[in-house]
Amino acid sequence: MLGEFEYLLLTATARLGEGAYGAAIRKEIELSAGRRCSLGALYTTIDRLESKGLIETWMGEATPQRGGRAKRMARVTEKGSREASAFYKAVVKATAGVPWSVPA
Amino acid sequence: MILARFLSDTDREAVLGDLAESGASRFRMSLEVVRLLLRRHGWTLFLTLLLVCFTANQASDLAWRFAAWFFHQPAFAAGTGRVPTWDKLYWLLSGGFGADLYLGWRSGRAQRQNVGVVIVGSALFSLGDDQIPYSHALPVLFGVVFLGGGIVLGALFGRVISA
Repeated sequence: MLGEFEYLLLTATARLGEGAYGAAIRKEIELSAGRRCSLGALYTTIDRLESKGLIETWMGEATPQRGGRAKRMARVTEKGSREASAFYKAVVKATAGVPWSVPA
Repeated sequence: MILARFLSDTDREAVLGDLAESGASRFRMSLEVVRLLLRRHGWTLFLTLLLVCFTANQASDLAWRFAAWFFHQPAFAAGTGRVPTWDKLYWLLSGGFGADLYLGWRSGRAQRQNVGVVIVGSALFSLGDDQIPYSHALPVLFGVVFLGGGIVLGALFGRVISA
Protein backbone atom coordinates (compact mmCIF):
# COMPACT_ATOMS: atom_id res chain seq x y z
CA MET A 1 0.00 0.00 0.00
CA LEU A 2 1.31 3.44 -0.90
CA GLY A 3 1.81 6.24 1.58
CA GLU A 4 -0.04 9.51 1.20
CA PHE A 5 2.98 11.45 -0.04
CA GLU A 6 3.97 8.63 -2.38
CA TYR A 7 0.50 8.79 -3.91
CA LEU A 8 0.70 12.58 -4.31
CA LEU A 9 4.08 12.23 -6.00
CA LEU A 10 2.91 9.51 -8.37
CA THR A 11 -0.18 11.52 -9.28
CA ALA A 12 1.81 14.70 -9.91
CA THR A 13 4.32 12.78 -12.03
CA ALA A 14 1.55 11.18 -14.08
CA ARG A 15 -0.19 14.52 -14.59
CA LEU A 16 3.00 16.22 -15.78
CA GLY A 17 3.70 13.44 -18.27
CA GLU A 18 6.85 14.09 -20.30
CA GLY A 19 7.59 17.26 -18.34
CA ALA A 20 7.92 15.58 -14.95
CA TYR A 21 11.12 16.45 -13.09
CA GLY A 22 12.01 17.51 -9.52
CA ALA A 23 11.05 21.19 -9.48
CA ALA A 24 7.91 20.68 -11.60
CA ILE A 25 6.70 17.76 -9.47
CA ARG A 26 7.31 19.79 -6.32
CA LYS A 27 5.30 22.72 -7.68
CA GLU A 28 2.49 20.40 -8.78
CA ILE A 29 2.27 18.80 -5.33
CA GLU A 30 2.25 22.19 -3.61
CA LEU A 31 -0.50 23.44 -5.92
CA SER A 32 -2.72 20.37 -5.81
CA ALA A 33 -2.32 19.42 -2.14
CA GLY A 34 -1.87 22.91 -0.76
CA ARG A 35 1.08 21.90 1.33
CA ARG A 36 4.76 22.68 1.32
CA CYS A 37 7.09 20.09 -0.08
CA SER A 38 10.81 20.09 0.66
CA LEU A 39 13.26 18.86 -1.93
CA GLY A 40 14.68 16.46 0.65
CA ALA A 41 11.29 14.77 1.07
CA LEU A 42 10.74 14.80 -2.68
CA TYR A 43 14.01 13.20 -3.68
CA THR A 44 14.07 10.58 -0.93
CA THR A 45 10.54 9.59 -1.93
CA ILE A 46 11.49 9.49 -5.60
CA ASP A 47 14.37 7.17 -4.71
CA ARG A 48 12.09 4.95 -2.64
CA LEU A 49 9.47 4.75 -5.40
CA GLU A 50 12.17 3.98 -7.94
CA SER A 51 13.57 1.18 -5.78
CA LYS A 52 10.05 -0.26 -5.56
CA GLY A 53 9.81 -0.08 -9.35
CA LEU A 54 6.90 2.39 -9.28
CA ILE A 55 8.67 5.15 -11.21
CA GLU A 56 11.75 5.36 -13.37
CA THR A 57 14.11 8.31 -13.62
CA TRP A 58 16.85 9.47 -15.93
CA MET A 59 18.93 12.59 -16.36
CA GLY A 60 17.52 15.07 -18.86
CA GLU A 61 18.85 18.20 -20.50
CA ALA A 62 20.40 21.22 -18.79
CA THR A 63 19.07 24.76 -19.19
CA PRO A 64 20.59 28.18 -18.43
CA GLN A 65 17.76 28.83 -15.90
CA ARG A 66 19.06 25.88 -13.91
CA GLY A 67 22.63 27.14 -13.88
CA GLY A 68 23.48 24.65 -16.61
CA ARG A 69 22.50 21.69 -14.48
CA ALA A 70 20.60 18.67 -15.77
CA LYS A 71 17.07 17.70 -14.74
CA ARG A 72 16.19 14.39 -13.16
CA MET A 73 13.21 13.37 -15.24
CA ALA A 74 10.63 10.90 -13.91
CA ARG A 75 7.97 8.65 -15.36
CA VAL A 76 5.37 6.42 -13.68
CA THR A 77 5.81 2.76 -14.55
CA GLU A 78 2.97 0.33 -15.22
CA LYS A 79 3.41 -1.10 -11.75
CA GLY A 80 3.25 2.46 -10.37
CA SER A 81 0.00 3.11 -12.22
CA ARG A 82 -1.52 -0.07 -10.81
CA GLU A 83 -0.45 0.77 -7.25
CA ALA A 84 -1.75 4.34 -7.51
CA SER A 85 -5.02 3.11 -8.95
CA ALA A 86 -5.38 0.53 -6.16
CA PHE A 87 -4.66 3.22 -3.56
CA TYR A 88 -7.25 5.54 -5.06
CA LYS A 89 -9.88 2.79 -5.17
CA ALA A 90 -9.15 1.85 -1.57
CA VAL A 91 -9.54 5.46 -0.43
CA VAL A 92 -12.78 5.91 -2.39
CA LYS A 93 -14.14 2.62 -1.03
CA ALA A 94 -13.12 3.43 2.53
CA THR A 95 -14.68 6.89 2.28
CA ALA A 96 -18.00 5.75 0.77
CA GLY A 97 -20.93 6.83 2.92
CA VAL A 98 -18.84 8.96 5.22
CA PRO A 99 -19.93 12.61 5.14
CA TRP A 100 -16.73 14.59 5.63
CA SER A 101 -18.64 17.82 6.18
CA VAL A 102 -17.14 20.21 8.71
CA PRO A 103 -19.71 21.35 11.29
CA ALA A 104 -20.41 25.09 11.12
CA MET B 1 28.78 25.32 -2.09
CA ILE B 2 30.89 23.13 0.16
CA LEU B 3 27.94 21.10 1.44
CA ALA B 4 27.03 20.06 -2.09
CA ARG B 5 30.24 18.03 -2.22
CA PHE B 6 28.54 15.50 0.04
CA LEU B 7 25.72 14.94 -2.44
CA SER B 8 25.89 12.26 -5.11
CA ASP B 9 26.52 13.44 -8.67
CA THR B 10 22.87 12.87 -9.58
CA ASP B 11 21.60 14.75 -6.55
CA ARG B 12 24.01 17.62 -7.12
CA GLU B 13 22.81 18.11 -10.67
CA ALA B 14 19.12 17.66 -10.04
CA VAL B 15 18.72 19.32 -6.65
CA LEU B 16 20.96 22.30 -7.21
CA GLY B 17 19.39 22.76 -10.66
CA ASP B 18 15.90 22.70 -9.16
CA LEU B 19 16.92 25.21 -6.51
CA ALA B 20 18.51 27.50 -9.08
CA GLU B 21 15.41 27.27 -11.23
CA SER B 22 13.16 28.21 -8.33
CA GLY B 23 15.34 31.26 -7.61
CA ALA B 24 16.29 30.10 -4.11
CA SER B 25 18.73 32.26 -2.19
CA ARG B 26 22.13 30.88 -1.25
CA PHE B 27 20.97 30.43 2.33
CA ARG B 28 17.85 28.57 1.21
CA MET B 29 19.95 26.35 -1.03
CA SER B 30 22.27 25.49 1.86
CA LEU B 31 19.30 24.71 4.09
CA GLU B 32 17.73 22.43 1.50
CA VAL B 33 21.03 20.63 0.95
CA VAL B 34 21.44 20.07 4.70
CA ARG B 35 17.89 18.75 4.93
CA LEU B 36 18.47 16.41 2.01
CA LEU B 37 21.74 15.16 3.50
CA LEU B 38 20.06 14.50 6.83
CA ARG B 39 17.26 12.59 5.18
CA ARG B 40 19.63 10.62 3.02
CA HIS B 41 22.46 9.90 5.46
CA GLY B 42 21.29 11.11 8.86
CA TRP B 43 21.19 7.75 10.60
CA THR B 44 24.47 6.60 9.08
CA LEU B 45 26.12 9.85 10.07
CA PHE B 46 24.87 9.71 13.64
CA LEU B 47 25.75 6.05 14.09
CA THR B 48 29.23 6.65 12.70
CA LEU B 49 29.77 9.62 14.99
CA LEU B 50 28.54 7.64 17.95
CA LEU B 51 30.90 4.78 17.17
CA VAL B 52 33.76 7.23 16.80
CA CYS B 53 32.94 8.79 20.18
CA PHE B 54 32.56 5.40 21.81
CA THR B 55 35.87 4.22 20.42
CA ALA B 56 37.63 7.45 21.38
CA ASN B 57 36.20 7.27 24.88
CA GLN B 58 37.35 3.70 25.36
CA ALA B 59 40.74 4.53 23.84
CA SER B 60 41.25 7.40 26.28
CA ASP B 61 40.24 5.13 29.13
CA LEU B 62 42.80 2.52 28.03
CA ALA B 63 45.45 5.21 27.59
CA TRP B 64 44.97 6.39 31.17
CA ARG B 65 45.10 2.85 32.50
CA PHE B 66 48.22 2.12 30.46
CA ALA B 67 49.85 5.34 31.77
CA ALA B 68 49.03 4.34 35.35
CA TRP B 69 50.57 0.92 34.81
CA PHE B 70 53.59 2.09 32.82
CA PHE B 71 54.58 5.00 35.06
CA HIS B 72 53.56 3.25 38.29
CA GLN B 73 51.34 6.20 39.11
CA PRO B 74 47.92 4.98 40.30
CA ALA B 75 46.72 8.60 40.30
CA PHE B 76 46.52 8.41 36.51
CA ALA B 77 43.90 5.71 36.76
CA ALA B 78 41.64 8.02 38.75
CA GLY B 79 41.00 10.04 35.62
CA THR B 80 40.02 7.10 33.45
CA GLY B 81 37.27 7.73 31.04
CA ARG B 82 36.16 10.99 32.59
CA VAL B 83 36.26 13.09 29.48
CA PRO B 84 33.26 15.44 29.73
CA THR B 85 33.46 16.31 26.04
CA TRP B 86 32.51 12.77 25.10
CA ASP B 87 29.55 12.86 27.45
CA LYS B 88 28.35 16.04 25.81
CA LEU B 89 28.82 14.50 22.39
CA TYR B 90 26.75 11.52 23.45
CA TRP B 91 23.95 13.89 24.42
CA LEU B 92 24.25 15.65 21.12
CA LEU B 93 24.13 12.39 19.23
CA SER B 94 21.17 11.24 21.22
CA GLY B 95 19.41 14.42 20.10
CA GLY B 96 20.46 13.53 16.59
CA PHE B 97 18.79 10.14 16.84
CA GLY B 98 15.66 11.88 18.06
CA ALA B 99 15.80 14.28 15.13
CA ASP B 100 16.25 11.36 12.76
CA LEU B 101 13.24 9.60 14.24
CA TYR B 102 11.14 12.75 14.07
CA LEU B 103 12.08 13.42 10.46
CA GLY B 104 11.44 9.78 9.66
CA TRP B 105 7.92 10.01 10.99
CA ARG B 106 7.34 13.29 9.18
CA SER B 107 8.50 11.95 5.83
CA GLY B 108 6.79 8.58 6.23
CA ARG B 109 9.90 6.61 5.27
CA ALA B 110 10.56 3.09 6.51
CA GLN B 111 11.00 2.97 10.24
CA ARG B 112 12.83 -0.28 10.80
CA GLN B 113 16.25 1.20 10.17
CA ASN B 114 15.55 4.13 12.47
CA VAL B 115 14.36 1.96 15.31
CA GLY B 116 17.35 -0.34 14.85
CA VAL B 117 19.75 2.58 14.90
CA VAL B 118 18.16 3.99 18.02
CA ILE B 119 18.40 0.68 19.84
CA VAL B 120 22.02 0.14 18.87
CA GLY B 121 22.81 3.79 19.50
CA SER B 122 21.26 3.90 22.95
CA ALA B 123 23.04 0.67 23.91
CA LEU B 124 26.39 2.06 22.79
CA PHE B 125 25.54 5.36 24.41
CA SER B 126 24.85 3.67 27.73
CA LEU B 127 27.89 1.45 27.60
CA GLY B 128 30.13 4.31 26.56
CA ASP B 129 29.13 6.64 29.35
CA ASP B 130 31.61 6.04 32.12
CA GLN B 131 29.72 8.15 34.60
CA ILE B 132 27.12 5.44 34.94
CA PRO B 133 27.86 2.87 37.63
CA TYR B 134 27.82 -0.32 35.62
CA SER B 135 25.39 -3.11 36.21
CA HIS B 136 23.39 -5.25 33.81
CA ALA B 137 20.18 -3.25 34.11
CA LEU B 138 21.45 0.28 34.48
CA PRO B 139 22.84 0.80 30.98
CA VAL B 140 19.50 -0.10 29.47
CA LEU B 141 17.62 2.13 31.90
CA PHE B 142 19.92 5.07 31.32
CA GLY B 143 19.82 4.46 27.59
CA VAL B 144 16.05 4.79 27.61
CA VAL B 145 16.16 7.94 29.77
CA PHE B 146 18.84 9.59 27.62
CA LEU B 147 17.09 8.64 24.43
CA GLY B 148 13.83 10.12 25.72
CA GLY B 149 15.62 13.40 26.31
CA GLY B 150 17.18 13.09 22.89
CA ILE B 151 13.84 12.62 21.20
CA VAL B 152 12.50 15.78 22.82
CA LEU B 153 15.59 17.67 21.70
CA GLY B 154 15.39 16.01 18.32
CA ALA B 155 11.75 16.96 17.84
CA LEU B 156 12.63 20.59 18.55
CA PHE B 157 15.61 20.36 16.19
CA GLY B 158 13.51 18.52 13.62
CA ARG B 159 10.86 21.22 13.71
CA VAL B 160 13.45 23.83 12.91
CA ILE B 161 15.02 22.04 9.97
CA SER B 162 11.77 20.73 8.50
CA ALA B 163 9.97 24.10 8.73
